[in-house]
Amino acid sequence: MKNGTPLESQTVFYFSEEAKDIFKQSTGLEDNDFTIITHEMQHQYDLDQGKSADNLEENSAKDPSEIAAVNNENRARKIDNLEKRTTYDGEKIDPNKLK
Amino acid sequence: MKKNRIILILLFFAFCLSCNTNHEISFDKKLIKSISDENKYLPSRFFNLFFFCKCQNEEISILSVYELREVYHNGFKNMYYKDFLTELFNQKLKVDCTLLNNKFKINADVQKNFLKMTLVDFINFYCVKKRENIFWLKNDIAEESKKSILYFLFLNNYITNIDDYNGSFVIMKVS
Repeated sequence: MKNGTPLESQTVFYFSEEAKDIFKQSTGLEDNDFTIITHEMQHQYDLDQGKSADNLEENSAKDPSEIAAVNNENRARKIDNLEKRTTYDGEKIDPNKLK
Repeated sequence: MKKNRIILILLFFAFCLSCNTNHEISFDKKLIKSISDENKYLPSRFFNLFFFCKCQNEEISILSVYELREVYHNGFKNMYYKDFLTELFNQKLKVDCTLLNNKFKINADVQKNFLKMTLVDFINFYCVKKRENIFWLKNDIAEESKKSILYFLFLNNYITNIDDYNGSFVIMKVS
């Protein structure tokens, strides 16, 4: 995939209390529908704008695409007075890359 | 003496044949039908699932439903789509994976465990049960083992998608 090539995307959301419990178990953080949507919207935006060339095959804390999504999610967290997210898939994200 | 030897050889082949039959893959027909019944020009409701197939070079590839449509279109249009999916998911077809991105070699340790463990033990060894028929991979699993575990689960009708928000694989039993 070349940078600048816009791609379509599909997203499915699962806004259940159970999913939120699972997230809390694995990260220790609260979340809500707003934080989930802002995270996924960053992916949708990046794909739509053709900014996903650096997207790694594996989702991880090193994946620029996931770091961008967590940064956007943290905007929602700030608005809703929720703790900042600093990890992805149980791994710490490089603090220098977090906004 | 010679007769006995022939009988022994025949018994050995019969044993081998019965072993292979036990490992025969039979992917869920209902899911195959649902995928094949979709309009191929519209977005798929199975877009977030991982499908596994054998490559010609003995690697395994992970495909999305859209890549399945592409592989079919580019080389297997002489078959019905449903038959193509059945053969592919039952690992009876090998495809040219040159243009596919997500490929891996089966991890020897995972394979060894799959062959010596029962399916239930294999699942309990590598997964955490979240609720009935839904599992996650355990946190401490080495990166190079993950895809092989998901592959062996796929062969046994456990299908994977990714929880992007959390960054974890979600494994569901389909039949």
